[in-house]
Amino acid sequence: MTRLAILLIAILLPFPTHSQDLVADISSHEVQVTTGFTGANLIVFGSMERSGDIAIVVEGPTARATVRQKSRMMGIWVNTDSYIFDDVPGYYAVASSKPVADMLSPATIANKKLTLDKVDFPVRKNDARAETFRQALIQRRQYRGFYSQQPGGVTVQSGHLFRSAFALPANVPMGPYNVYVYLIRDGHIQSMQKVVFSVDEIGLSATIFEAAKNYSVLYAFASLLMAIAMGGGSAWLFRRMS
Amino acid sequence: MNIYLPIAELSMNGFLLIALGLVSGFISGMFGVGGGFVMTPLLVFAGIPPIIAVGTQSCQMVGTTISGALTHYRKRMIDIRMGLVVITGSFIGTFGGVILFNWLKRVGMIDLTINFGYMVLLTSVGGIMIFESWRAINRTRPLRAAKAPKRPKRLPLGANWPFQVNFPVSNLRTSFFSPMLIGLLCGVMVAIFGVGGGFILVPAMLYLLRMPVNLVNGTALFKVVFTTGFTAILQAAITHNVDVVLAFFLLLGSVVGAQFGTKYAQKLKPEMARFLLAVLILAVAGKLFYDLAATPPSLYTHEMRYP
Repeated sequence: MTRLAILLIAILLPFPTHSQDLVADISSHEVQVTTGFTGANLIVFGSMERSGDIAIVVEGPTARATVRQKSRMMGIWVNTDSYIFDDVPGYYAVASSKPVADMLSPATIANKKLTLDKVDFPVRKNDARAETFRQALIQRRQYRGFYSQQPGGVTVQSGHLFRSAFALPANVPMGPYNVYVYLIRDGHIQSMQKVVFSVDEIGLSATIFEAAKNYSVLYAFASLLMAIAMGGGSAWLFRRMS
Repeated sequence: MNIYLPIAELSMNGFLLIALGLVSGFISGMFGVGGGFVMTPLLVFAGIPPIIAVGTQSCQMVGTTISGALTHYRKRMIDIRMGLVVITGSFIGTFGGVILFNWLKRVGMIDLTINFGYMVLLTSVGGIMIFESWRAINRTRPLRAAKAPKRPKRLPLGANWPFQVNFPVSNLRTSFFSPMLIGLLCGVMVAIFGVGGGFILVPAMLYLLRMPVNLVNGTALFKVVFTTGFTAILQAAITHNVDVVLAFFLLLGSVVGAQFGTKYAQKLKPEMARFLLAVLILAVAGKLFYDLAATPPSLYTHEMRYP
């Protein structure tokens, strides 16, 4: 499927408008979370007119993050400090054809947030703790597979076609995602293309999620009824069997 | 077989969930408890967020305990009047407990309360039970059997309190407030720890209310059905912590496990069953203590709230 798409682009691209230096697309514009969802792979691919380097950022919907710090008190580990960040992307992944530090100036890397340690979150009140908590948050998101950095994660074929895969974990946040594809030549970003997609819950799991939120009383009694039916049913079955 | 759990928002192996259900159901049927005190730590260990584990547990336990309660009812092994008084207290306790739970969640103390409070509770209940059941096991030996009947019948808790009520099925007389108070404490436990309160109620009815041994399991199950049912409604309607898909797969295992547990329990002496239950309770407490005292892999935790 993806290979076919790349092939199509490879065939079509050399002919039309020469004004477009960079063309990129993704394997799926809607990632569907169904009852059997175990995560998905998102393929970002495209073509550039002349050879260059590529950096890709995939950014997920934002949320308010509460980070808590544990310390030892009387022999046990207790949450002792916390910090709140607003607008933290739930998913953030960077892939590039070469390590970004080899291609771009530190200022550009920081500006485009091309390394994970440059991912910045709006801070409610400025204090010294913010930096420690920010780094801890990035590290925890990375550990859970929501943040990633793949230097060399973009493969370039014959100098024109590029391709990269991003893993979306099973508990990937729902909502709109932005994909930024940067074309880099001679230490500068030459052009950028933005592609969007969304992660949506569909089918039974979407119905259940909606019901639990919007018809919570009905949901409560339905789930209770299920439990009673299953418990009573098994008691009846076992009595008949013995 | 991976199943996406829509409320927990993660995917888990369905067979693993059924197996967890089987284990907790077996324990439930065997000891006359809900089995939540084993299941909640197991679910958290498997990666379910603690609050979802607690919420879903309450729904699952209704199904597990109802079959056991029905069996005991048919055999007339439930003191309905005693059960209803305990339930009344428990409802008040659960309601207060849910409010307390949400407050603890807001101030970020919920994990500590669940883990630490649970540990203290399990250690004390398990400790008392293991001590008592060990003595009871030794007492039933023929040599000492003659001594047992000579001991004076000890009065139930609340024998001198106002509002004395007769409980003819259990053949005892005590204050309305003593079973009510026990129920109230159980209710708070139910809401905070996501357990049915059976493992507290069983020893409380035995040692505090001095109820006959054969009525204890049935009456505890009778109470657990009602309180977990009430909690399940509150958890689903107010705190949105019940994952019906998770509950379904756990129930598939637990309703079957409960039947085998009930069967197996009949082959076991009551004091031996209490001894085994005490060992199990202490084992869970030990695991919780280890988790609290051992240095965690990361000192930071985080939660995301999507608009």
